Amino acid sequence: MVLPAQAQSVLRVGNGAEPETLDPHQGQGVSAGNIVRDLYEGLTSQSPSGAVAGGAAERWEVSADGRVYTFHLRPGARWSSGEAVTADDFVAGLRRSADPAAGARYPEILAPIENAEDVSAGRLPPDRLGAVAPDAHTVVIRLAQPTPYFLQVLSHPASFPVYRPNLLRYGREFARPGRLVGNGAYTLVEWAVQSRIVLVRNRNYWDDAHTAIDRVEYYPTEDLASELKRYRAGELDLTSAIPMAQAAWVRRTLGAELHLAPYLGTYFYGFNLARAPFAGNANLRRALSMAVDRELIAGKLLQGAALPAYGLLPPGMPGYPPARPDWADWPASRRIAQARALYAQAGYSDQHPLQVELRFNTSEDNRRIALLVAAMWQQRLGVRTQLVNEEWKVFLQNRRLRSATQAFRVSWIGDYADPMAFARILRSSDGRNDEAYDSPAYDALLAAASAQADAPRRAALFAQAEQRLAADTPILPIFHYLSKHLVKPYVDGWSDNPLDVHYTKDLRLRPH
Amino acid sequence: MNGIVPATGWAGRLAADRAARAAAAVLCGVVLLVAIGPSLSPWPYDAVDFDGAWGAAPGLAGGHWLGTDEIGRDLFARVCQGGRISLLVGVAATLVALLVGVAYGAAAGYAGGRVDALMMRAVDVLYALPFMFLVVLLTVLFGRHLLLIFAAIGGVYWLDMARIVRGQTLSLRRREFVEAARVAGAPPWRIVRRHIVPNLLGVVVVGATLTMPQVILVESFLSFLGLGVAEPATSWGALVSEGAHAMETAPWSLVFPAALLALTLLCLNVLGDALRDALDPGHAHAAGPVRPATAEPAAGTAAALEPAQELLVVQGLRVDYPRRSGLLQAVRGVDLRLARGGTLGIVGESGCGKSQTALALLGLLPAGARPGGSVRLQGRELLGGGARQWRGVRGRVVGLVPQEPMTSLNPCRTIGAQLDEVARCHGLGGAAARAESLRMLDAVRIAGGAARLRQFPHELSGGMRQRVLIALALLPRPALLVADEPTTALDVTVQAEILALLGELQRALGMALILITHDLEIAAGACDRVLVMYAGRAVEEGAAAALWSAPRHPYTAGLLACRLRAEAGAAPLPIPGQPPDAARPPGGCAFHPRCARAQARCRDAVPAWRDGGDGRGIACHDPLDGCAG
Amino acid sequence: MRRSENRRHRIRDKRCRTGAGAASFRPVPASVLSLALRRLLGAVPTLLVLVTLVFFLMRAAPGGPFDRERTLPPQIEARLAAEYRLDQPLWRQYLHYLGRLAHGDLGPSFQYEGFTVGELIGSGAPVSAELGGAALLLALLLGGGLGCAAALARGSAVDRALMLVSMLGISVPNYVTAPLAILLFAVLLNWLPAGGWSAHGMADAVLPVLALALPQIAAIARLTRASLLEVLGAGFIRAARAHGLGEARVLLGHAFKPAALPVLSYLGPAAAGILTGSVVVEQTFGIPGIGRYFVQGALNRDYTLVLGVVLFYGTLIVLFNLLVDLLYGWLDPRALPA
Repeated sequence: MVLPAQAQSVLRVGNGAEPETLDPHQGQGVSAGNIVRDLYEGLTSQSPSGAVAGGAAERWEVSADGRVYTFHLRPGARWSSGEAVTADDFVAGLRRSADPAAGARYPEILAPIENAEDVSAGRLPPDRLGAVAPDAHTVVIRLAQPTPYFLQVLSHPASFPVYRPNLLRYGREFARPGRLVGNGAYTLVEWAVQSRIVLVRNRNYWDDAHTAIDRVEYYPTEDLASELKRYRAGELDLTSAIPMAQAAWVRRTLGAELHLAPYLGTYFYGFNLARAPFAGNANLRRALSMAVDRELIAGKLLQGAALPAYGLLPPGMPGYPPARPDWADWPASRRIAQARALYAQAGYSDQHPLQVELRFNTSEDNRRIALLVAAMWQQRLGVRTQLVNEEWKVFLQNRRLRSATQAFRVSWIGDYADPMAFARILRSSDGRNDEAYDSPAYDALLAAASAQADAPRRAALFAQAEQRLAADTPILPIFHYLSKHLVKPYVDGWSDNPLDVHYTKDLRLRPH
Repeated sequence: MNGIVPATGWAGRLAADRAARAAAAVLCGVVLLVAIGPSLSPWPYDAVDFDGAWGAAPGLAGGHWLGTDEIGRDLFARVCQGGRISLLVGVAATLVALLVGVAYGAAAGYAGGRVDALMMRAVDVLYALPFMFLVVLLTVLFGRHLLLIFAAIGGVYWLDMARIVRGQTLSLRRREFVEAARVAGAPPWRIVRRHIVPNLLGVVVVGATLTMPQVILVESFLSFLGLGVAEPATSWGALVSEGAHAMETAPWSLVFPAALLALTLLCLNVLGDALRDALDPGHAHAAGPVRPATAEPAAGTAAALEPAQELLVVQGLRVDYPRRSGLLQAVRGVDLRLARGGTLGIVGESGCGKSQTALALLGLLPAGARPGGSVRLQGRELLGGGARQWRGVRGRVVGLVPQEPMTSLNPCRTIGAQLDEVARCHGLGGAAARAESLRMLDAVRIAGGAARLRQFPHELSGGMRQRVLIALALLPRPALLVADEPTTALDVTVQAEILALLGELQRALGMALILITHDLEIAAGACDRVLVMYAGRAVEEGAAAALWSAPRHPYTAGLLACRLRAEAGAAPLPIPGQPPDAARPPGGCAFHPRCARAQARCRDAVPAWRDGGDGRGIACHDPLDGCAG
Repeated sequence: MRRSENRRHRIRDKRCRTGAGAASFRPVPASVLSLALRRLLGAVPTLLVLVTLVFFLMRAAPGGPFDRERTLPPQIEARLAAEYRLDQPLWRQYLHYLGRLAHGDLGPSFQYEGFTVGELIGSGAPVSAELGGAALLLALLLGGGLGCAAALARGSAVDRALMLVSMLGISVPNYVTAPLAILLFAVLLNWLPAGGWSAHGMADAVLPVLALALPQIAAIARLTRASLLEVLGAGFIRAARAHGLGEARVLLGHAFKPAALPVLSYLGPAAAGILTGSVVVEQTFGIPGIGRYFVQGALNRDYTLVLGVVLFYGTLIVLFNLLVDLLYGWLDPRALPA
């Protein structure tokens, strides 16, 4: 059959940082994830609005105890090479993703699967992972505990299948044009590092008939201002974000093309509880927290491109509204008075002010926020703040050592829409707990929530955990992120969602 | 050229430069603003105005004269504060670069050879280290401290300075005065300090001019990468970088710091250029644009009918240099006559105007000169003619043997190429030109023929170079040869050879010769007639032998006495006193401050030129033999 | 007598510089070639020092290539460290790196997994070379031309205007000119692309090359003007005029070549300036050159990539300096290619 000659439909996407790899099990960044989701398809997928949808699996059953998932693959699912996608490909992908010998970077997301933590720790071989393929079209996954968000995990790149012939042939260098075989709607044709990555539609994709865009070009830009200019010059159809300092101006000039929507991310300051002055001084931490005017930061400084934050968990968690302490709604004078009282109780005064270091990694937004917070502390409590601006890797190392930091900047992006994605980072055992927060009560609440299959009771446990956090104040939440895309009006099918996941196959371009 | 520059100091010359004055004034203004600005502003540079407008436009309301930045801090206070840091970084880092670079470069260049090669290899190694990386790495390792930024930037820019200085030193080292000092046994450090460093001054100033703005720019580049000074301190670079992000939303936040930064750098550059010119008067240029030298009409001297054999008649020749400080008169009315084949010596101390007179005959006066009077050559008036006319005269009618054999040949071309070029320029074809070059080489007694032609000037000795220059001048067979101190730079034996050669060729070719020299004996020995000049005027003229045996002007007598003492083996005793300042010559007879016979009228009246009737002329109120008393 | 002394002196001089007895009197092509070869061999220790310095400086910096916001489980971290030999003593890693380098292998990139440093430089270097080469050429032609024009029109309004503009060119950083140019020519006028490389052909290169060349155009114009003015005041220029040569011949045959010498010496710093500037320009215009790898690599502790890029820069500069020296020797016979 000969198709009539037709202009190709090309989507040009500004994609933020250069992806470090397109290997689904080794990539960690947002920019890599965007591309990998076009190249591969997990057992599940997401609808444009963010709901769980069928992916490579057409349907599935969940056992009554919520611990056994049985997936049935689509009969027509094929690799871009034309071969059929089998259940073994998925099992192999999960095993590789959990296997420390494969150098996989994201094992924690597979933690709900039976034996996953032991496999990742090297205590069990990868084939003991609780995922099996009874036949070529069926994948059975056993979980350690019922996990309400587990279907979302299966749309994460870390759970994607792997095309074993090329993995065997090229090893870790398989994720290159000409070598990468995927089961997604697109296939990789060009990767010029720091220049662009080009994908064309995969004619072997099971739903190719409904794909509208023929070619996607992903352009890396570290510099958001440059990305914005290229968008305005008509060289990009979509951007990864906008510079927050220009949010108001962009909204004014580009209007409806700016899509601001809640995104699963929180920006906060951590207090190092292992060192003076914050060790064992909850009053001080609360005083500092109450002295910070989040509305001013989110509204005036970030120009509405962020939401004020009073807790760790962002909005957008199903069945879980974000926490809001009562003082959040107090008038400023009362809040400041209370903060001053707590500051005094903590043993500080104008004669004996707190001297503190606030550490952040080099970036325009971090700098401005830190300046403003320091000014609020200074002008409201009399705190003398020293801003310590460090380059990213140095900053990470210092934060992790817990021996140099006092207060420091953290931002955390959730991988799935569940409170656990956030709450877990303050567990005493978590590798990310740079605050050295060690609360047995908090750990116990999280453990209970993990074991709890009933959604309302689980939510209640998380709410209690958040109250614990509010009382202990190991962190000072500042704002919740918004996704900030610019989308040309001729791009149809775009829909904002909390995980900020967008598949090119769901988009189409109107003539323009 | 020597002698036309007023002997005021470099500071005076700098002060005379209008652009430099303006730049200095603006710089002072900037420094003042930066120094007292923060105390003028009602807002401290680091105070956040929570309730005020953020990113506000400039205006008088609210006391934010230049507006506020993105978090409501006063832009005026921040621009002033930033200026302090930027200027500090600029000055300190430039000093570091200068000190290290000059010391290193001078040492390497002076030492030369293996040491130099080794030292420059070390520089190559450092050059090959991308400096940005160095600075990024240093800031990463040691945090961001102002001191570190100085050291990092200065530590990088000294490389450029070292290279420039080394190159210059290397070439200075081969110069005659350095060689002379070395031969005299001066210790190396003294040679470097006395002879090399002062001569490097120009290069160093130019280097500093280029370095300081660059240093300030590098600091701003670091700020752009987020590696500059730590908040809440700021610098112009940091402010410009912030402003560049907001160039559409809040253009003023870019405009003010960027304008101040650019203005400062501009003024630094202008000032640096002016300083270079002031330090190196050789490059000092006239105020106005260069115009072709035009002549004023001859001042009243009626041109007498010239006998057929009169080749050159100069009447009332003046050479003026208009300066802001007044008119500088290098030549103040000189008359000359020269017959075909005749020889004339012009004698006088440096700065008396003899070289200016010679250059005026070829239309080669430096830019800014204003010649006046009349120069008639073969009956044709030359002054006031255009470039085309001068081209017809130079070489063909009047040839020049220049003062400095060392610098008067193009160092980049072979002897042959330079000779051939002149031959071709005067109408000879390729092979004929080469043959003529060889013939001329032979005529000036340079052995070695064709092989010689392939050599470069630096491969020849001074005497050889002067012979080549004579060959170049004689190649077009001029009717008049002007030899401007042709032997000054040569040693005594070579001097005699060159003079003998000149005389021989003059007779053989039947051309006229004007020999300019400060040595009365040379002039008298080589020429039929001699003209003595003082302070831009002719003071005595006559047949060489007569002048030599019985000088009438006290100045001529002084020159002669000086010469005789030298012959007697005593130290030559110069005429007491200093040669006059060309910009402010003494009134009356210009020689009166140095003249033992000076009387009141010598101070008041310029002595008129009087013809002695015996083929001699003089301008003196009280000549030695009293005949004109 | 004096001449032959001179000659001996020169030969001795030359021997000192080149480290061996070059007996020929004037550089003939063969000796220039051997000189170039010797210089290239001499560059090996230079580059070795460079690699050593950067290797250890890089390792002294805190943080490692696998540090991210998300921590890796310790066993995976250990496994990665073993894979990249980071678990071995530093000196063994260093020797291993040198060993690989001797075989022309720059190793795998830490940051861009699945790419070798050789591949990355191979893809980025031609782009950077095109960009930098074009900028340098433009700076030379335009800067040289403007400088000559200003020198010949010395003191006139043209001269003053040119020098003012060139001073402004030096005074405005390219992180201001580059976005300003994009704003004007790409966003507002829509004449030229705002970024990218190769997608639009030649049009892509216009703005970045200009932004990169601008400060160098200005610097070279100033330098050319000063240098030409100095040469025009030299004795041999006056002598050439005195011999009856026309003004055009004097300029072309005598003034330009010596006036070019200081400009030639400035080429090294100019090239270094362009290398530095290319980091900003490549980032602002989204150009896939190695300037971006360098900064990203240093920030991400991509040890092998940074070493590779530094080595590449180092080699480039060594070659460039050699070229400048040879050119210098060709233009000015007094300076031997030392």
